Amino acid sequence: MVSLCIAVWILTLDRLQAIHWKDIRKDNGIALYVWLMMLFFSITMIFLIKRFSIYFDTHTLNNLDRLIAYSSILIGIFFGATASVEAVGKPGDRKIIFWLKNSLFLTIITLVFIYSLFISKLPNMDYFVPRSLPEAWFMFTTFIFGVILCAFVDKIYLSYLPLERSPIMRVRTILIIVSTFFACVYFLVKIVTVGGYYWPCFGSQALINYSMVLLVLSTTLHFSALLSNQLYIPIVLISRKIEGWSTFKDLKYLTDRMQQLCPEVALPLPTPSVLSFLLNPEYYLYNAIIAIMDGKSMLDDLLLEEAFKGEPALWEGDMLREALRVKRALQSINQSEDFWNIVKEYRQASRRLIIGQYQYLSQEVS
Amino acid sequence: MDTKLNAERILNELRYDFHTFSIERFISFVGETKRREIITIPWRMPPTLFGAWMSDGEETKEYIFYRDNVPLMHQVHIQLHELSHFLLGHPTLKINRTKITDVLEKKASFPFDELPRLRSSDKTILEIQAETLAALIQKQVIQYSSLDQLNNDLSSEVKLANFLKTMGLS
Repeated sequence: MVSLCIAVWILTLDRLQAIHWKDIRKDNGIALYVWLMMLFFSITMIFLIKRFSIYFDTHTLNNLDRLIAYSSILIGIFFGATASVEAVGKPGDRKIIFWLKNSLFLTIITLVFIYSLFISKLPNMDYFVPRSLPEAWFMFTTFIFGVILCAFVDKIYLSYLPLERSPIMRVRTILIIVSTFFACVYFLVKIVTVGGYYWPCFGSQALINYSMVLLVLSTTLHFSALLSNQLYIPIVLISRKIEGWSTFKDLKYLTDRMQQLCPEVALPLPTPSVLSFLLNPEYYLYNAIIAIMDGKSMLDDLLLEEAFKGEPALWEGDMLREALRVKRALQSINQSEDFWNIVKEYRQASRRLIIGQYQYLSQEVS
Repeated sequence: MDTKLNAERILNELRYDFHTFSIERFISFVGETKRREIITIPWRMPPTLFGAWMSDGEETKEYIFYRDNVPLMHQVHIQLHELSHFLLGHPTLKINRTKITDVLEKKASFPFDELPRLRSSDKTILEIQAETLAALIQKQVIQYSSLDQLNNDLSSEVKLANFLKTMGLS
């Protein structure tokens, strides 16, 4: 926990230096909200270090660490949610964030109220399962609002993910979705442990440990989403290589069809081992695409009625039907200038052909 | 020598900076390096022929014909394939200015029928060599453009892109 706390503080202070403060208004204040979120998370993390909490409480007020930790985590997530709404939220989300702001205000007042009347009078709370009703209410209020905030952030980014085209931003978005999901589960598990006040079985050590793992995972992932783009590029390239292999296998169906229909056109496409492919994916994918494009042009030529008047037909029966089926599948392709979009389009065409083939075979059998 | 190794050697010898690739710039670069003027001509090629390279027998000119009714990426590949024949020093047909003038005035046609069909049924070693070099050139282009794209592409959402810049994450 100490190392995680140090890591998040280093990142928070590093961002403080890296932020272009003069441009802070150009992005609707999103950078400021995100930095405030980092700051409040970092404050929460400090109070998760037991020794520090005890030291802090000894020199201030009883259990003040809990009040600060619970409030700061909620404020942190709220700033995260505000940044999400400003960045990618829909008009309806702005209404929700308005209500969440008011609810946060009320929640913190409630926490301060319970703290002042009850929690501050208790001896040091070094346990996670409440032992009195005010403690249970203090914890439940925090955790239920935490669940609502996390679910709201997840909803925003889940709606946005399909619209994001930048591979790096997609990775960031996925990291935020997963981290917020873990945070949501963390708060739910904490609600269950609050139930340990009434039913002791819910306050088991295993659940407490599980919640701690979720918190560490969530924090690590969320802060990972706020690293420099340069750190993501190798990850995106590696994932592209891995995904490229399954793409290549899909394209292979189409290149094989081309070889079958127009054996005279394309050079035989090499079938690399997984390792050879991963070392050189662009080379193999490019060869596959060109083989398909060659075949497509050849099909277009040969299926023109006027092309070879008087010469014997190249295909008859099933082969002719197959040639027409492949030609039709390739006609629906949207031409793009971006290589990866072209690969995607041809992969989809190949998959459509594979599915069509299975359907045809199953009809034949039945 | 292995076809791919030979293609890699030729590509390395060119020392072209693929960060700034465009087919026009690349062809111009090759022309300057080899001291030949390379002229590319989009053409409605006969069926089953994608491109052709012919050398001027009288002037320092090379002519590359490529099919004009295929997708852009395919057009670029055809040009690279023909250019690769030239870079590899393969033999080809000779034409001259008079012949081209005759074709343009529709008094004659290009001798496409005398050429082997590209990536043709005989699949000669020359075709495999040219195809390998063309694919290696495009591989470099894709790798560099992918990296450039990743370096410059921040987000589909303008606000998020601005945020990444302001936050110092780009």
